[in-house]
Parts: sequence; C-alpha cells; structure tokens
Amino acid sequence: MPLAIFLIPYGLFLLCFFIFALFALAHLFVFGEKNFTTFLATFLFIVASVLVLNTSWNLLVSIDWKEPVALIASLL
Amino acid sequence: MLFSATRIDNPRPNEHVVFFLRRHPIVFLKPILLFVIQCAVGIGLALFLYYTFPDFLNISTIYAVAIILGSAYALLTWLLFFYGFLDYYLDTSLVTNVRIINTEQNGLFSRVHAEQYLDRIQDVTSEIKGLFPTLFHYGTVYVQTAGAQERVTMEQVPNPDIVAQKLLDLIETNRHAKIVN
Repeated sequence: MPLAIFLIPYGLFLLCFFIFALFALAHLFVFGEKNFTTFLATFLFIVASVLVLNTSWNLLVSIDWKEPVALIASLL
Repeated sequence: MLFSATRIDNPRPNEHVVFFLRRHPIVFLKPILLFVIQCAVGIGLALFLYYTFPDFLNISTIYAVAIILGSAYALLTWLLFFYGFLDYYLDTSLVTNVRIINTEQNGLFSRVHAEQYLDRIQDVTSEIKGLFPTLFHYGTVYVQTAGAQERVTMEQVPNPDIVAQKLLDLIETNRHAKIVN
C-alpha cells in the first residue's frame, strides 16, 4: 500500500474546507456591511488559508508517495 | 447584496436609522482566546513530538501523516476562528424611527431576522448580569410587544440601560407624532 493512500482523506478534508470556507465568505458578502472590516476579514482569511495550504504543499511535495506504508509494528 | 449600517432593506416612508448596535467588542475575546489556545496546543504538541521522538520524523510514513494532520488541524482552527468572527460580526440590531430590525446569526446555517414596529412595543427592559458584563458594562435589552408575539432580545450590547432609555424615548416620540398627525 503506497503512502499516497493518506492523500485520499486529506483531499476529502480539503474539499470540505473549501465548501465551508466558501459558505463563510458568501455569508460575509451577503449579510455583512460594505466597509473596511468586511474587506479586511475576507482578505486575512484568504491570505492565512493560502499560507497554510502553500506551506503544506511545500512540505508534502518532498515526500515520495509511492513508498509503501510502514506498519506501526515494524517501526517499534 | 452588501449593505451599509445606515441603509435599510425595504424602507417605510420617512424611515431613517436612529442607531445601529452590535455586541460589545469584549465578547469577541472568547473566540480569540479559543483560537490562541488551539494554536498553543497544536504548536506545543508538534514541539513535544519533535523533541521527544526526533527519529520518528525520519520515517516517511510518520512524516507524511504528521504533515497531513498538522495541515488539517491548522486549517480547521483557522476556519473555526473565522466562524467565531462571523457569529460576532453578523449579529446586528438596527433601530429606525419606525421599527427595530434584529438579526442573529447562530452558526452558519441558522439566521434569525426579527422586526418589531415601535408602536407595538409595550415595554423595554435592560439587564446586566455577571462579572464581565458588570465590568465592561454590556448586557441584554428585552423589547416586549403587544400580543403573543415573541419579544426582541438584543444580546450583549454595550450600555444596555442607555439603549433601553433611548428606545423608550423613541417610542414616546413616535406615539406623540402619531397623535399630532
């Protein structure tokens, strides 16, 4: 079993994250006021999310995903 | 549709905004504290594992799982904090010379929008209860209307006694104007 198997639940999590993030931003646009606070909140949310995703990508890209999964028993 | 605090949806003739209320800013301290604790727990756990089991991260399986879990934890923490902000920011009370428009955001999928006309209001009371509300002078304003209609509740607003008094003055002015007309 390759390490890439772990990417499936992570991908599902990212999908949920994007859906909920879009819902949240849509709420802010539909029901929020048209002012600097709304703009700043939207901007900060997107920037911080992109930073976390970019850092995760940079760390994940160095992993060889074809490598087999090491079982806990074999590690100890 | 974006709106400003001074704009009313479906305005009645000669209607204008008297004041706009939001929860006291100190209330937002709770999601901030929760966010700081979640960050501290995440960073603390990562440092603990890094310094206690340094060899474990050399195993690619553990390294991959750690990065995935860390990324998911960071995104979830950030999203929950943003939801906390929305819960605070989207709870508003708009008082006009005709009515009170109270909007309450409960989570992401529940939004309560209540309107009460000033001429139907029978009683306005304010309540400051608890240590933090007393220290920072914020509390709840209850607006009771005639009939079996549900009362409007403005929660955790700054200076609730002043708000209640202003509302009573506004109701009185509104009634007087109706009698004169």
